[in-house]
Amino acid sequence: MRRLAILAACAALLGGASLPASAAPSVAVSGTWSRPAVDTAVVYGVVRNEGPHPLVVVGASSPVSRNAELHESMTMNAGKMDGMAMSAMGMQPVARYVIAPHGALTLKPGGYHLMLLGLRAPLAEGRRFPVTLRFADGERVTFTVPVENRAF
Amino acid sequence: MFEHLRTGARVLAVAVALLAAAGCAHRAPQHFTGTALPAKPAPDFRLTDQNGRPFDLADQHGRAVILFFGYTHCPDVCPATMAQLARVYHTLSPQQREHVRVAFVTVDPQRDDVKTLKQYVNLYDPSFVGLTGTPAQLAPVYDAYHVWHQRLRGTKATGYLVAHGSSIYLIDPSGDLRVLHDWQDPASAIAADVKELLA
Repeated sequence: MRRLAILAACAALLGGASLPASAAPSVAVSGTWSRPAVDTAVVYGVVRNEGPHPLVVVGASSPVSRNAELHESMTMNAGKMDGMAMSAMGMQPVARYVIAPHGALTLKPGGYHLMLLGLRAPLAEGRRFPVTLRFADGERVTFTVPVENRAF
Repeated sequence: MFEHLRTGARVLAVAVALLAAAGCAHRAPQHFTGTALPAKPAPDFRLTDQNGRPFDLADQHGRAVILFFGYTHCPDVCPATMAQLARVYHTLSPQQREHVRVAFVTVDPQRDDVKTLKQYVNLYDPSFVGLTGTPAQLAPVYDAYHVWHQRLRGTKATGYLVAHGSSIYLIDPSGDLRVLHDWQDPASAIAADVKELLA
């Protein structure tokens, strides 16, 4: 009850703008989705910093997997075949990501994404599961991710 | 009498074949939305499918083959591409689907065993083929298809990551490698080229 009151107070201070699923009222998460997966899954969406200070993403977790990490996919040069340029993609873990004030971290195919490692059970289309992002200031924000059968 | 019929049938068969050949020669050149390659036989290979059975590319003659290389621990690019190929496949008519094979070749044989591949391809379509082999069997396939791949350092949780070629290869029903697509190409563009190969 007391927590609710604090949340309500925060919301009032912010002019009652869209309140996220849990505390950290300066963060708004939208457009989340994931794909069906057996062992390794992904989370996409937009994490908006609605506050006046930089927000530093330092970690993620979800009850559906043993680990969750922020990763970045990037295009790599893969040479040519018959004179035609070949595409290649690589990926790297990202330990910290700074979201500028009023900026956003966009998680999308071929770019930044959350990687869920070691799923406790396969994720089927239609399932919804929670994911929590951790920030450097100790703040956490939890949001819901629907599993959708789509490519992009 | 029968001899005449047989000769007649043979003459008719030759005539039909000649007409068909003439028809082919006069056919409008095929146009692709992807990158057209100079038509030449797709490098053949024999690997193991998700049911543990041998898979020969040569046995696919009469079918267009959509080929993609990746690994099941890849969370982003590979599932996006496979979901895209599922969309491509499902835009085809049931008759067209009978003449199309979608095959995923692992670039991570160490972790992608037959069982893992089976669960993986079933996420997209049970008709999709997941292929693996020994490193010695796979290396010439990567070479022949110019599949650049390299292990990258991951984290304790991910283990190694694999950067890899992300082109989609379209092989026509006669076994020629014809078109390249980028993994981000729209499903409609890939589907149009597959239909062109089947036409």
